[in-house]
Amino acid sequence: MIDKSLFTFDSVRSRLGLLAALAFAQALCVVAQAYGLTLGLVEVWRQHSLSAIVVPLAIFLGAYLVRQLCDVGKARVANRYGERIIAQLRPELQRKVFTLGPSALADRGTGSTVTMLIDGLDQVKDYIEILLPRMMDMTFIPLIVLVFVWTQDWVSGVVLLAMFPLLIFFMVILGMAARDRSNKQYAQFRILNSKFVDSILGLPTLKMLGVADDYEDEIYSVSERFRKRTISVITVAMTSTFALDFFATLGIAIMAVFLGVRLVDGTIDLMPSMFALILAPEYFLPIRQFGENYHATLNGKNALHDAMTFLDTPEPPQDDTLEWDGWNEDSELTISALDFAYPKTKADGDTSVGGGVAMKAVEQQRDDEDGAADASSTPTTNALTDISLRFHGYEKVAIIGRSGAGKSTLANVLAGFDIPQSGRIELDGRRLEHFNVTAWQRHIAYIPQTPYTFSGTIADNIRFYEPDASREAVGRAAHEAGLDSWLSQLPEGLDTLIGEGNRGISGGQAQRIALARVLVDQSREVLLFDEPTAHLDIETEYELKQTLLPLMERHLVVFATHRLHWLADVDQVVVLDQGKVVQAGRPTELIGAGGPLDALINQMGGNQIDGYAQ
Amino acid sequence: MDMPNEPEATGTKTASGRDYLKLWHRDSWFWPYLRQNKLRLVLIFFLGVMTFVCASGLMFTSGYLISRSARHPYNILMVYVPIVLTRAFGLGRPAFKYAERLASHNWVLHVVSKLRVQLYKTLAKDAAFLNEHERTGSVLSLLADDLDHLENFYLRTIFPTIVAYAMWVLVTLLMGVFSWTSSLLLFLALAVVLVLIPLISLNFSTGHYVLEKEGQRAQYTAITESYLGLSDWVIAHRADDFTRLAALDFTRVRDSKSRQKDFDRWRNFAIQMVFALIASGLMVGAVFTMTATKDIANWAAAVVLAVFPLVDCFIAVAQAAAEVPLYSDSIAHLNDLTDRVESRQEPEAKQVKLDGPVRSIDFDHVTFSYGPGQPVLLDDFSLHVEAGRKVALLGPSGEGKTTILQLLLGDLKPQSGRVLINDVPVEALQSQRSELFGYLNQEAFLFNSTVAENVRLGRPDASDDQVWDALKAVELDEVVRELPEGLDTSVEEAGRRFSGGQRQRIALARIVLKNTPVILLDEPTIGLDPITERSLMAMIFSAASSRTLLWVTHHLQGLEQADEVVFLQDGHIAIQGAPSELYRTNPRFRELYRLDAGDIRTSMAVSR
Repeated sequence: MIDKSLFTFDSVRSRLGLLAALAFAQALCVVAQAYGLTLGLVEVWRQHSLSAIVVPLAIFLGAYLVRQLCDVGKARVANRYGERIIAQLRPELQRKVFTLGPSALADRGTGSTVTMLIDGLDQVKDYIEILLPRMMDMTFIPLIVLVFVWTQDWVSGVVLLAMFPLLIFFMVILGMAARDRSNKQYAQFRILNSKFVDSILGLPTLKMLGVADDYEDEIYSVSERFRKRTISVITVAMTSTFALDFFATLGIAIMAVFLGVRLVDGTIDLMPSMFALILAPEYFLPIRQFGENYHATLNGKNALHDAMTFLDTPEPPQDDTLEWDGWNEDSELTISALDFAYPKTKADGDTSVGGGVAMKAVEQQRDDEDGAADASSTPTTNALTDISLRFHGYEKVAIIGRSGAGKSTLANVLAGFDIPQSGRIELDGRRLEHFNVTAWQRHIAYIPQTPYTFSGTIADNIRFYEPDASREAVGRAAHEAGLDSWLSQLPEGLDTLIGEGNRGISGGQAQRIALARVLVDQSREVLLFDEPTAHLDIETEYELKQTLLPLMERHLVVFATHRLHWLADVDQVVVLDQGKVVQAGRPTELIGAGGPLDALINQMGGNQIDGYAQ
Repeated sequence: MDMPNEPEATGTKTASGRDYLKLWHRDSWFWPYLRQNKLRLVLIFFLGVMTFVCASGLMFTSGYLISRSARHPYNILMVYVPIVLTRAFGLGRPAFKYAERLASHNWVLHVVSKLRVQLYKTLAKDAAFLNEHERTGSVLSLLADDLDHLENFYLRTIFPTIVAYAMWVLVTLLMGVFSWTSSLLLFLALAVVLVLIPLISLNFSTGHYVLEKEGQRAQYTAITESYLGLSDWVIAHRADDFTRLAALDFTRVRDSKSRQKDFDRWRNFAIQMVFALIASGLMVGAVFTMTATKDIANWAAAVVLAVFPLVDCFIAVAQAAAEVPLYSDSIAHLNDLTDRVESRQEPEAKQVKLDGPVRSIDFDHVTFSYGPGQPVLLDDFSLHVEAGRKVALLGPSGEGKTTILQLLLGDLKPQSGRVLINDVPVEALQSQRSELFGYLNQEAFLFNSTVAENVRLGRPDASDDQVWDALKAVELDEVVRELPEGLDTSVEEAGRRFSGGQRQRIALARIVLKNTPVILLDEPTIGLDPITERSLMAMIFSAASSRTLLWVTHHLQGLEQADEVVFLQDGHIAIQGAPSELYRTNPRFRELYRLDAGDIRTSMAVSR
């Protein structure tokens, strides 16, 4: 019902104390209000005049007012507390995303993490805001009401007391039955519901295939199947509310009849019986409210659990003590016998989705034919095995291999996003355990296939690594990155807003902005590229290459690519296959030597046009 | 373009009541459904009313029961009727409530089924909308969300409000039995709760809704962007700036929500106090009108106590009103969609049957731009394609390559010039377009169903053997045979079970099965690695053997398989010819081709 982690929050006890005090005061007001009302009604029953009900009415109205104020107060306290908690949790989660890094985020899924941070925490707030006051109400109000009813008429007290466990029992039993039932149907449920979104998203395809009209009936019948399933789940789910209501009203009805019978006998007076009767609904109210809100808070409870688990995720090691002042022409990086495997969860997840041996065979085949879509679906346990490399001075290194060979993984390891399990790394004579090293990361730039641009001006995007860079520096970098002709078409030039909701930019422009970013920050002497031109059309690629080549001078450049033409411009080529280095050396020496590189070149680009050889 | 620019309906801070009325006046998504199935609706309202009648009745009869019993009647039979009624009401309340919930959900879900069909039909009419691929995904899922909102609109706003208003009438009438003045006063007091306060509530939440919606969008953008660019943040070591993103936009929304919640609380407080006054007023009234005889005095407690269960019924209306802006927004979206689709409907050209097989495709002096002020994508463009030819269309992105395909499909209309098949304008061939064209784009869409169902979309009545043949043609038959359930294996959401290249091949299998004379390819290999790309293109060319092929591409690799290459530049054809010919005669083509093919020796010679 309540998540234990709630009790680890700041000042939760004092808030609970305050809520308890308010609930207690409210309970007393409930009794006073009922007392005033009863007194007034009994006076009317006795056919007394207006003056007789002035005091009872005043008691009633006063108690009613204070009671409602208590309610407002509780809601406010809980609301502010909920806000405070998530205002604390949100930056904590965000910082955690940062420390865990891009690889962990990709594992968890960007979309689901955004949802956790925004919607999830909103649900946590609702959970705190609803649950805490309701819990206090449940603790105090029924108890105090029961005590007062008991003092008036013990028989009524017994009826109410007897109803309580019955009510809880049925609520729990039926609630559990409903949950089992909906759990069982959940998968089908989701499929049926997502089918509609699926067919809406696939509508262009359906239309193109000329079957759009046939799908209308399909949508209707699937929706109707969905309706029937939903209703059958609701039927069970609502029985728990039904049971709650049923026993609560039944309790009141039984009490009223008991009281009536004994009033006829004359064994009880009107005043205590009416007092008990008026108090009876108040006795059941907190639990009924709790029952109605319970399902709404379940999501919040799960979201809180998610958030806390995420905060407890072990962080990758980070080294911010190493002293190193950047890459120069004599610098040297040697890596030997480096191994890297993705965390177990990822590999496991993949095989369970695949479903055993048959699927593995398919995946194997998939790899053989197409190259897997991404490295995560390769069945190999190690993404990188026994990697040994040596980079020296302002060298340009191409890492090449087919999809899934580990090119991107290696780039991620070099950027410090993935932590290798073993291996020896030496940077200018210093031993490193991994590349998640502040001093190293301050001197590298990582440019992925689709570099990300942020909402804001072009200038701010270029300034990203150096937020204080001068206007001149930004302009110069933009010029060197070949942005001039594009900027000259924009009325606002460098101040043009780009990103979500603003001007869209092409893949080539994004690459150039990313380059300008590097150029602004002169201290980034190591450039890591992951397929920078794979998505571009050939002409854009050609033009970008002309810009890139001069910029690569005086940098260590590591280039993961499957575009073979880059080989002409590098000093070293490293051929990866299934996570292993199968060949490394100067391209001029390797090409034509009949090794793995030649085989790869043959597979990738071996097509011939008439007269090609000329 | 007239896309759903959300702020347009909500841009002004407070939409007045008149705006809401205007919105619903031209509505085709909401009211029509309230007019259908009237009997079922009446049943739902009846059950809703009965729930509260029983709740109130329980307190009424028990109040009377003990008041009457306290006069010590001769025997218990004198209070037999109230005893029975107390029990009946006690059982009736939960039973009616349960039945009402089920009936209303059933009704609403039934309406949702119909709404889904309506949304689907509306979208299907709007080819141009569907072609703006970039935004389509998110816009479409937003529309699906709007349907969910409508579902809640019925359940959370419409039904409770109607039930409350019915109770209002009922209570006023019943009160009239005792006293007409009290009845009038009660009517007016409830008018405050059911009309005045809801209107204030609606007015208050309208402004906040706009603010929160914009704030929330800003939150999503900021957080999503920060995650997509996380590697840059990490390398830049801007941990504090990154963390601050989770606070910035959130305070604005939080403050607005807080104010809304504070308002809700004090509003509910006010309503509660109105009820306290009503109860007090009734008691005072009872002193004046119900103390004449003992028999009448017995009813006083009944009347006063019956008020309290009604608080639940009436308090819901103000909250329901506060949610109206959200729902109106969704209804506005859907109606805007309908308007847009209908305004774009053009009188259909008279359809003709194509005279036999496709012989030629012609673009005859075609000029096209998306509208005045937009760049001219095609300028007096002419191209003649004989049936069976394979033509590759090249050019920098944004140069209207895809537009050519859409013009041929008839989804876009040229400003001037004609697009012809066998000299028949394509507008007149729309009824046959799916038999004429097979289309493969950058990312094939696979439905979350089985392999067989996905392939069979190409021809719904195809036998299993034919499906297998199609899979064999795209060399997927072995892979599918190995799957745990063969043809009946699920492709999973968005075809996740398969790699990108395999997904394209399943889509190609549809086209193979469909056997259309013309195949249109819109950069089908983008995002695939060179090895996959080569094998997919080889497969497409072998599957297309004798058919006509128009291939939009940004790569030159594999181009030698085409019969003709067309380079577009500034809306014109810049280079045109057979690939081997161009390779010999056009140095720029040769250079790009070699770059793309990754010919290291020549590139080295060029670069060094």
